[in-house]
Amino acid sequence: MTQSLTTETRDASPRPPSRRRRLSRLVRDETGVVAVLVLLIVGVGVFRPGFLDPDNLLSTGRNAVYVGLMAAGMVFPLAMREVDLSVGGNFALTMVVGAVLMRDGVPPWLAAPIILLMAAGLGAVNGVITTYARIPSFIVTLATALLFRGIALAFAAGKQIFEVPRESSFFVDLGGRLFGVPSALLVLVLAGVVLTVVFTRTRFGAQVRAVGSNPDAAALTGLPVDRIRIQAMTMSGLAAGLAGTLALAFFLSGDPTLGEGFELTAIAAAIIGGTPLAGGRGSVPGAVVGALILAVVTAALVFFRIPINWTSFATGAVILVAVAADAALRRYRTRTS
Amino acid sequence: MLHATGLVKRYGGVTALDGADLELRGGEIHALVGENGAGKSTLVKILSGALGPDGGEIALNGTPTRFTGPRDAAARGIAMVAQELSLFPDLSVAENLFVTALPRRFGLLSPAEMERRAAPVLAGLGLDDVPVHAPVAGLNLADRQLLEVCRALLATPRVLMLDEPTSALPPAAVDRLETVLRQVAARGIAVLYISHMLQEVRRMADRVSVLRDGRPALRGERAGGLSLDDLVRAMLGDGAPAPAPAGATADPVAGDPERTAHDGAVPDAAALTLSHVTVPGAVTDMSLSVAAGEIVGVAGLEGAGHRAVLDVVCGLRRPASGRVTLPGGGTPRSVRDAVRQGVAFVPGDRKRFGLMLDQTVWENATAVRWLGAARGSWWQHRRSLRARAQANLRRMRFHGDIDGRTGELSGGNQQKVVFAKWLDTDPSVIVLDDPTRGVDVGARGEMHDIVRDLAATGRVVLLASTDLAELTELCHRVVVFQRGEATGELRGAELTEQRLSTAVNGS
Repeated sequence: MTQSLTTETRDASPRPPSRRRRLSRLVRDETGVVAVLVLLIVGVGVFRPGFLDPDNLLSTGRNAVYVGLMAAGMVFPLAMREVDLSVGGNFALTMVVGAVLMRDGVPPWLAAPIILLMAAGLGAVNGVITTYARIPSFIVTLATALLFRGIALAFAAGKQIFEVPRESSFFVDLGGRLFGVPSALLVLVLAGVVLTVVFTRTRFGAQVRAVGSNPDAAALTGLPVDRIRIQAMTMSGLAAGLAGTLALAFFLSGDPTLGEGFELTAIAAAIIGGTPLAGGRGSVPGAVVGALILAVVTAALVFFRIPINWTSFATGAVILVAVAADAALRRYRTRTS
Repeated sequence: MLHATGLVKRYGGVTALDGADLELRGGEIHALVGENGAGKSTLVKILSGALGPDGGEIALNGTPTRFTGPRDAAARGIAMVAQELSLFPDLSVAENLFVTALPRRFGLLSPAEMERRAAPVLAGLGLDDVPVHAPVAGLNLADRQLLEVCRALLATPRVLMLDEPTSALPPAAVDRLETVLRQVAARGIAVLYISHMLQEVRRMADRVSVLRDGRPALRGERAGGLSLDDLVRAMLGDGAPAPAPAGATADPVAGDPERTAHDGAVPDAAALTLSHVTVPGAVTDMSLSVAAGEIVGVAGLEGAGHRAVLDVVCGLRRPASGRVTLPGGGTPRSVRDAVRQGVAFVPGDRKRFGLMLDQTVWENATAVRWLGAARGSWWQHRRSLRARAQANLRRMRFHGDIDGRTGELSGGNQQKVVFAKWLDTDPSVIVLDDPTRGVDVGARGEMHDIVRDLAATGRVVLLASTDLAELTELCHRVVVFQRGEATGELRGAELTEQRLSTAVNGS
């Protein structure tokens, strides 16, 4: 009863909407990460002008494609308080199954949609197990990550599968460049735009955010929470499969050991991009930019002739600094509004 | 033993306690009774050192005292068993008992020592059959409650205070608690027992104090000489005329059972029916039918089963037997199913169950129709969604920024957003659970007008409330529950706070 009394006194003073708050909403959440990315590129460019060479920038961007796609897909589970640790395994399995299909004579452009469908199915499996076995998605996908990669390894007998029709336009065009830009980078941009629209402008996106914001209220409001969860996990699986398909086209082989640890980098990229683990919010462009930031840092190390073995250290430092800065910024913003 | 006089406590402009007195004596069970918001919890928090008073004084064994905090009060022999259980479910019974000072040997926990010390204490409270090393999560509610008492007693207190200890207990467990409290009192400890279960108070307490609006209405009267009516009168006040239900005063033929607002509707067209509904552990063989345009209240003490009626209508629980029929003829199979069949649910705990606090007002206001019932386009047509939200919010007399974050609104405005989001689907049944909890008086009045308007347009309204005045003001009739059964119904002129309180507490 004392609590209700204190709330009552607070109720007495309705706050007029402040202009500053409206302004801060205009400045999109992504502005911060984009600024960091630009500063990083310019900063490195000042000391090592060769870094700003368009070819170098494009190949740096190309390196961000796989993690970028996974991060963009990961926004969906993260925004509804779930997580998908199986994207790395899904990525490897997609690659291997694609390579096997193409080796065994399936035309590459037919094999591609098949493996994309399979990747989405794997995501759906994660969602179904999470929902119906009532196990946290963290644990389910921790297990399926191993399952998926295990199948990939067994399927490929632990080796890379090279016997693919390299002359197919699947490898030439999708693995190469279009209009002078790596095709994979174009696919990342396109997928980023589509997923952004799905996340911010459709009922499904709004449902994902609603569940993540308050699962109890969402259920009592009649939202089909289970179905939304399965769909969100499917999205994540599909994005990982797209990354695997692009990797197959680029590497001209199916490598079951590729993509190990990508899931954690992807989660880091999503968090850097402003998708909190607490759910309710998320940003697909932010996640893509987060992946680009990580790729720029890795590339910059090469330009500064820092031994490649420091890459993990640098990535860890970037994640910590970016997330701490973001948290500080948010605290500051809530205090001023 | 512990004597408080003239305690005053204010929160901002609201006075929670205004000269409260309480005298606790060793060896006696003293009950503290009062309506919600009468100041019971505030008083107990002051006595246990959790809050400092703004006025008045506390004397412990005759010497004026000021507690610096709960630890200070505990060190001086004040033990408190809070309303919310504060046990650690994953720790064992013994670990819970000694959680502040775990017995150790060579720096490691000593289970043997713990067992040796726990056993006599547990046996003293009739908990001998409780496994000392089993996790607390496996105990039933009554055992856990007693364990909490047990933990409080380990500190060998002089005063033991319990905040609504029986609210969640079945009758047999209440008897056990009574025995235990008697034993505790027999050791010369002063027991303070807060409750609004008036029957129990009369049975268990030696003395009774009643708080009304932060002032003492009864000061430590002997319980034996008090009737249920005396207690109800002390709680609600008898000097002022009982606030008549709004519907009843407007109606000249108050005695007529078929009266008031739903006269316009066809009286015997039962829109919502529950027939022989049984929910194990909650209600047994409950039948109820509510006509369109009617506002029907369900009332009872905690655990009396009235809330289960709301649950089955909302699809939160499914009855083990019996049938719930919604106005459309369907039966609610799940929450989602109920929502799709036009059931709206306005919870009291809107922060937890009603709203997405970090999202904008218009997003919340469109959540039921667009997200829940999945009506309208799959594409987010922001302009039309915002327009719908705006229109519904305006009907709720919401004045605020619909693009603002919902968490920044006042409690009253937040509840208007909850109403607005349900209105968006044009529901036929509106279920309200404590709809004005934590809402200021002005907003409460507005909310009541809204509910009356909704009923007047032919909807079924079902209301549960911890605020008896709300039930008497809003409802055409109130069904009273005791121990899982509907034991009576009040309507018209009989529907007063006094009668309701008496009926709820049973006689």
